This record gives sequence, C-alpha cells and structure tokens, in this order.
Amino acid sequence: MKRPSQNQRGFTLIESVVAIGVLSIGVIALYTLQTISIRGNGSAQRITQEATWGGDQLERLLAADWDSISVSDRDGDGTNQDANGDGVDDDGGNFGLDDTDCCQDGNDPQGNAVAGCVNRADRCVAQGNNNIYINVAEDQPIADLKRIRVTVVRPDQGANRLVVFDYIKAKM
Amino acid sequence: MRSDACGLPGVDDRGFVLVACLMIMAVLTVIGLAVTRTATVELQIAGNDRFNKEAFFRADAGIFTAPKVITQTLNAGANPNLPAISMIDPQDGTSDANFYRKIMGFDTSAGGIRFALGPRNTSVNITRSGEEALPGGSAEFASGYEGIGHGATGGFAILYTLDASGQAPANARAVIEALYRKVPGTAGGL
Repeated sequence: MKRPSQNQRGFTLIESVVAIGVLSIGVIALYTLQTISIRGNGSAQRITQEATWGGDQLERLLAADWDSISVSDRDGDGTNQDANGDGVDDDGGNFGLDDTDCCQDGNDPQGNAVAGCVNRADRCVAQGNNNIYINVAEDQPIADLKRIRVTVVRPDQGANRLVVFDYIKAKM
Repeated sequence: MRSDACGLPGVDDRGFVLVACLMIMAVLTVIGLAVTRTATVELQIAGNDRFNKEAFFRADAGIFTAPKVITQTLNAGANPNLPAISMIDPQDGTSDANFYRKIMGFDTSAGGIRFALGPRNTSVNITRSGEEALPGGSAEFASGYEGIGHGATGGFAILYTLDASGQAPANARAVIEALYRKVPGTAGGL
C-alpha cells in the first residue's frame, strides 16, 4: 500500500524547546505591556473621577445660597487677612485656601484622627478613597466675592495626588 | 534538508514551528501596542478633561468678577483701587489708566481686567456694547446719569459684553462670553 505523500515526522525536541522559549519571552514582555496598559486605564479613570467629584462639589457651592453655611468661611481665615487689599494674605496663609491638613473636627474626611492637625479645612467630603477639602475666603479678591478652592486628594503609594479647582462666587 | 522522503519536490516544512511562533508573537505585539495606545489616549483624555474643567471654572469666575469691578468703576467714576485685580488694555496687554473711560462709555474700545486665581490667570475683556431704556422707565425721570442722582430706580440699563478667558496647565484655555446688563442705581443683581 502506498503511503500518503506527506512528511509525517514530528518536531524535534530542540525545535519545540526553542519555540516555547521564544514564545514565553514574547508573552512575558506582552504581559508587562498589558499590565502597564491596565494601570494607565485605571489612572485615567481615577483622574476623571476626581475631576468630576471636584466639579460636583463646586457646582453645589455655586447653587448654594450666599449666606448658607455650606459656603461660609467657618474658621474665619479668609476674613480680614488682607488689610492692604493686594490679594495676598498678610499672614501668609493664602486665606486658608490651602487648608488640607484635616477637617474642623480634627479628623480627615474618612473620619480618622489626624495627629498635629493645624490647618483645618472649612468643609470636608469623603468620596470613596478620595478626601475632598473645601475652603472659602470671604471678600476675595474684592468685596462681595468669595474665593472657593476645592482640593480633591487621593492617597497613592505614599504620595498625595491632587486635583485643585479655583472658583469665585459672587453675591447677587 | 529537503523532505523528499515521499517524493514531493522542493518542499521543506521543517522549522515552521519557529515561524508560526514568531507570527503568533507578531499578532500579540500588534494587540499589545493597540492596548497601550488606547491606554495612553485614555490618559490624555482624562488629563485634558481635568484641565478643561479647571480652565472653565477660572473663566466662569471671571464672568462673576467683572460685574463687581464694573460697578465699582461706575461708582467711583475712575479706575477703582483694587490691588488684587489689574486693569489691562486688551490691545497691548499693558496697564490701562483709561479703563474707567471705557466702562463709562467715553472710549469705545474694549477694556480688560486680569487677576490670578491660584496658579493661573483669568482675564476678562469688557466691551460696553450699548444702552437701553427699561420698560416702564422714562428718560426724564430716570435715575441720574450712571446711577448718580435722584428719581425712580432704573430707567436705563447699560450692556456690557464680557469675554472671559481662563487658563489651566498644558496650555488649556476656556473662553466664555456673556452679556451683562447693568441697571445703575438699583440694589441687588451682580
């Protein structure tokens, strides 16, 4: 009986080993690529999330009444801090707009106690892992205006990632 | 070596495992690069969106600040003394001593203000674009010129076109245009 006209010899061991070796090196490299991509997508999602949450808090303050507690300068650090009216805080505190050490109660927005808390934010909101600090400076940059700064803080491997929005609310 | 055991002419399929493996890797590489590119674009979109929001809020803040400056200028009849806010000539970007003339309507060109809001600037170009009589008011009994004098409230309104530009990192810029209708002599409003 005539055998079919094809080569039925298998792969050699060396051929298989080399092929598997080359393939695994490639797959490992591609795995790293995929990991980087997934991490990048995650960062993009978090940045979008933070920006949206920050904007959301700002819009709430925009909608709130001028005198309402949500936009009041609770610690008074934005009031009468600028005797010469040059828009620069006389005692160097930037009208308390940078107060992100802790909230009024001495805790962080998640409710954890903060040791050595000095610069207390006017208002705090916790959103997921993010801490949102809201500070208001009265009569800045001129009378009948309030400067608002919303700082969204995300703890990330020991460092803090910030998204900061500045705004001015006018008295109607 | 030729695989001529079965008499086929010129066919050598040895080593095709390596070729197949390289082709699979090529496909995987293309997929990997596509994924990386998607992630990069995704990151750029997120970053630009954030800077866009930042710039937008700065520009919007300018829209709310300009009316206060206009009111103070009308009340003073001179450039108001506001160290935190600079009066800028939009033509050449220099300090503008004639800002009040443009607000009062003596000069027809645009005036401008600029101030820092956090790390970046907001600038607003203000053009006095016209005046209008308010319904129910009359020229004779209107409150005096530019809100100074006696009479019933209102009577007329001044229209200003506000062109606010907010900056943010990565050269982001948001521009908002608004029409401000100033009714001199009345309480309330901006």
